[in-house]
Amino acid sequence: MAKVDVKRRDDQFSDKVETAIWKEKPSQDNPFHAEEARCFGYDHLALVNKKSFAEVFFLLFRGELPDEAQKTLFESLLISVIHPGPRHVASRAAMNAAVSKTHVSHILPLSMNVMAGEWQGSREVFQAMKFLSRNLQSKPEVCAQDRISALAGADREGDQTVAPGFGSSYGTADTYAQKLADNLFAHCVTGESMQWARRFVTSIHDAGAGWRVTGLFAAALCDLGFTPYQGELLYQIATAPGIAAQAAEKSDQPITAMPFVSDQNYTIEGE
Amino acid sequence: MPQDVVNTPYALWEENRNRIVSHQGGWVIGKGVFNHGYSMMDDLVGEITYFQQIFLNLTGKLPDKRLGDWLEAGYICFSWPDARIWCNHMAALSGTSRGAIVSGVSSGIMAADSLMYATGVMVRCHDFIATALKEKRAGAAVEEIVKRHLSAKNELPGYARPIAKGDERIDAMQRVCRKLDITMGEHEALAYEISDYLIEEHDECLNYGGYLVAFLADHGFSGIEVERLISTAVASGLQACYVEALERPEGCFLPMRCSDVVYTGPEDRELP
Repeated sequence: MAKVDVKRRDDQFSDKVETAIWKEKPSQDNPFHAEEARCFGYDHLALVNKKSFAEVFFLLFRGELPDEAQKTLFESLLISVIHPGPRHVASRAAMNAAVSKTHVSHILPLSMNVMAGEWQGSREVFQAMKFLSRNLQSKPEVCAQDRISALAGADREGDQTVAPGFGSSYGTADTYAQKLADNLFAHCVTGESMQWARRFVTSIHDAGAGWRVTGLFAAALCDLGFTPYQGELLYQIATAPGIAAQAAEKSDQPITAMPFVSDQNYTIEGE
Repeated sequence: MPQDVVNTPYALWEENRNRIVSHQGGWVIGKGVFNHGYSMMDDLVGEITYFQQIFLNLTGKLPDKRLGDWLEAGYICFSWPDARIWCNHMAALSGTSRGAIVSGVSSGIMAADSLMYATGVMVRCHDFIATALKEKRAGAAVEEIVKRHLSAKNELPGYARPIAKGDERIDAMQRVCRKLDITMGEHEALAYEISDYLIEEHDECLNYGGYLVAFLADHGFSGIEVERLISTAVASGLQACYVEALERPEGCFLPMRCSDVVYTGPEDRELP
């Protein structure tokens, strides 16, 4: 290969960070202190005193406060996924780290890493939102049939994913995800993505597939105007409380408080 | 497995409850630690390098020591003590805020899983050079290969890099190969041919990721295997940047005044 001298490019990097989210008015005494903070124009302290956590959470990502219907759906959605359950891989990571006395500041980051997967994790939310936005103009029944047909020849062990966020969970449609979906439909105003997804789920029922919690979260966030990128981040934030609580509960328990597979149940192939 | 669950849709998961079957190995308490059939304390410790073990754990194959030494040199090339580099920035921010070193280092490792540089680009780089070699073997000229890929995807993974043109790490790794007496393979040779063409036509050239995947493709590794092999390669640069930020007073790594952030959002407004 010809010898190449290393030369700097003429990239023009920003001198300052730009943001439309948060405005800080500097203190007169110290330019590193803020005198006042505003979120998309609203005084932070007014938000503290008059708005709920979910409303300000919505504002941060969408740039406007939610209306009543959006607020109800968003808040219900956040509580729907507030705990993925103690069996979820991320909860187990958190609990195992807690009993093995991992530095507490690592618990949430490490369990969020585990939460980030394509199977029942935050990556699946991203992919499900992409799937929904790409297929919203099609008939859900036709889309479902096409995807089930495409899966028909696949000889694959494990769960069947008809589309990201929709499929089987441990071999059959997820019972609790269906209940969460039914509850949101019963108590909230839902939009076209959730309506589309409900018809899609009905169409994949006979194939042993249904909602995954990630698909439900994705559909609701599409209706609330969030992007897939935001959706993936929101799923991690929204599931973090339950996971963190599981770790906190285990923090003062001994290492024996979590299962450790016995030698007789640990098989080394070829031994 | 209980008979009543054998034919259920969840039999697969039932079979794996409270049970691990490993082809990697494990700890047989009182007997030893086993890794792909080797007794780690007897056969591996002191006998192979850590970088040979990385290959063994990720691919199941124990490579020649020279390949381990090559990977070790490759890791050095990824670990620069410059806190401006994006992944290193994470470690320095962690250090200045007095985070634990593991927080800083793991944040940086995650940051390097990027679509722009380091770990996250390896599969795309491999896909390109593997496809290009197939095309060359089928008779395509380098110019044709480059034009076809640029028109189809508007990118040539493994060529050009952020901040600078040229890549000093390739010369260094070629020197390592000469020292280790490792000869060049077809992927690597083609990578250089394409680079020479690009220098002439576009003033761009091979980058370090493109070199790495071409070299490892010649040794039989896939793109995803390359991604796995270098998944912690930035760690030492992160450690350096973390420690340096930690050694200075809190908050002294690139502190920002309020006025260093430009607000571009809505005007001040009252709550509805």
